[in-house]
Amino acid sequence: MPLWILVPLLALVAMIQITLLPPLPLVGVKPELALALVVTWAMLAPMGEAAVWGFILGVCLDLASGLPFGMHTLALTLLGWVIGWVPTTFFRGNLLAPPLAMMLATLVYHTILLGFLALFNTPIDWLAYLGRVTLPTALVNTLALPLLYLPLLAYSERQVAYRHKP
Amino acid sequence: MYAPDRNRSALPIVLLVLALLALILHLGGVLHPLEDIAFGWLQPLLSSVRGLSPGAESITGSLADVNALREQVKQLQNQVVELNIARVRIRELENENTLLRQQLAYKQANPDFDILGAAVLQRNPDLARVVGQDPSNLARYIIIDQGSEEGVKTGMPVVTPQGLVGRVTATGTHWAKVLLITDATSAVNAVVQSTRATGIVQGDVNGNLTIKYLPQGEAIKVGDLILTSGMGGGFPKRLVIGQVTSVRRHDIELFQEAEIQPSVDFARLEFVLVLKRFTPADITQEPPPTPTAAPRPTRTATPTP
Repeated sequence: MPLWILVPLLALVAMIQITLLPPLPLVGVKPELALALVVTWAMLAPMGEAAVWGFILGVCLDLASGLPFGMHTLALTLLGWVIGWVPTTFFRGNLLAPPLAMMLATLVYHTILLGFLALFNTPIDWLAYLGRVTLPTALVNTLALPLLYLPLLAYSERQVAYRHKP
Repeated sequence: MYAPDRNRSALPIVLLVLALLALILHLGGVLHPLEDIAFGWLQPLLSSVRGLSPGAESITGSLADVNALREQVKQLQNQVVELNIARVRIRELENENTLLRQQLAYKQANPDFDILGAAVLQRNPDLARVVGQDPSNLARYIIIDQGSEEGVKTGMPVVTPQGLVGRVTATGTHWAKVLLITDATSAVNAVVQSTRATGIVQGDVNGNLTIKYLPQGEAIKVGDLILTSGMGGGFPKRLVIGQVTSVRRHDIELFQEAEIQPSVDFARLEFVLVLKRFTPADITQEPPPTPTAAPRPTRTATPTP
């Protein structure tokens, strides 16, 4: 997908997360659409592409976030890159792998953000954050996975077919 | 997107280095002009996307009866809010009346002192629209559409007619970020309206509010109103924070705590007021704390001969 389409599209996703998504009842957290998108694409796309998505989404989130600029960018780019190392066949051939990857990615993402905050002398109650925010967020992000995985799978297969077109 | 393999493997590393550089430059304050320009482009889009939310919500509400009932509930809630605000104002006027009488008595008792009355709060609020919220579940911020051009500065309190919302932590030309009082890193000096006991209101990771460091002897009860005390100069006095919903008291502890229901509905913030000017509370003018513990034993007036 050319950058002139990708950047506005990802910016729109970020804006939806910033403006429209409310905390869900019972769990009290909102889905982290940007993270879910980066992780899902990292499981399906060639290595490195999800890192680009993570960078663009991260910049958009950082602009609207009260946290120091660069934290979301760094965390999403890193996750998109690292998950991209794993061969896509591993995720496509295993039903449990995508949800487990999403939960682990959410844990790592929050740990990176909280770690930076702790580095900047913000007092962090790790158990409270991880137990009462990260865990519900991981569940919510995993529930959002089917909504993202199937369309992105179809898109990635179309990309592969286009690349191999004689 | 289909770069040769060697470029594709280097690109994520380049992006990571850029992200780290952005973080370092942000901490050094160098990136602020660029952030301001970029957010200036983003802000109109944020406002437009946020404007879709009433339409998106009405799709899920299917029956006309349900909508009518919702409207009625909203009206009744507004009435309750107005009545609560009036009640708070009356109580505060009563307290102020008592305080002024005490001061007058002091002045009359000390005619040779030159005493200046404490200044009444001055407010010059500007209406600001909420255009977004923090994208993360780890922090509680909102973004408003008023910035340095409109006179907004870091540290200014942000309120609604219902009560205290938070404090400005960053500003751009036409935007500002507001740390909500429900954020885990927020702390506000507060006072219990009925007993005048002082404490600190803090948020937690789930956005709940607790007032802490209340002395054990204070009689705090469910329904007590919590107001800003004005101590520290960060917020004006007597802004409503919320109402006590439960009290945690253990004899072995030095202090007691209470959970608070905020007076502001943070999930439905649309417009807020930025207090651009107020007179910080002068704590030297505060009356001595009113005792609220159990009544003291009284002595008999005169001994029987």
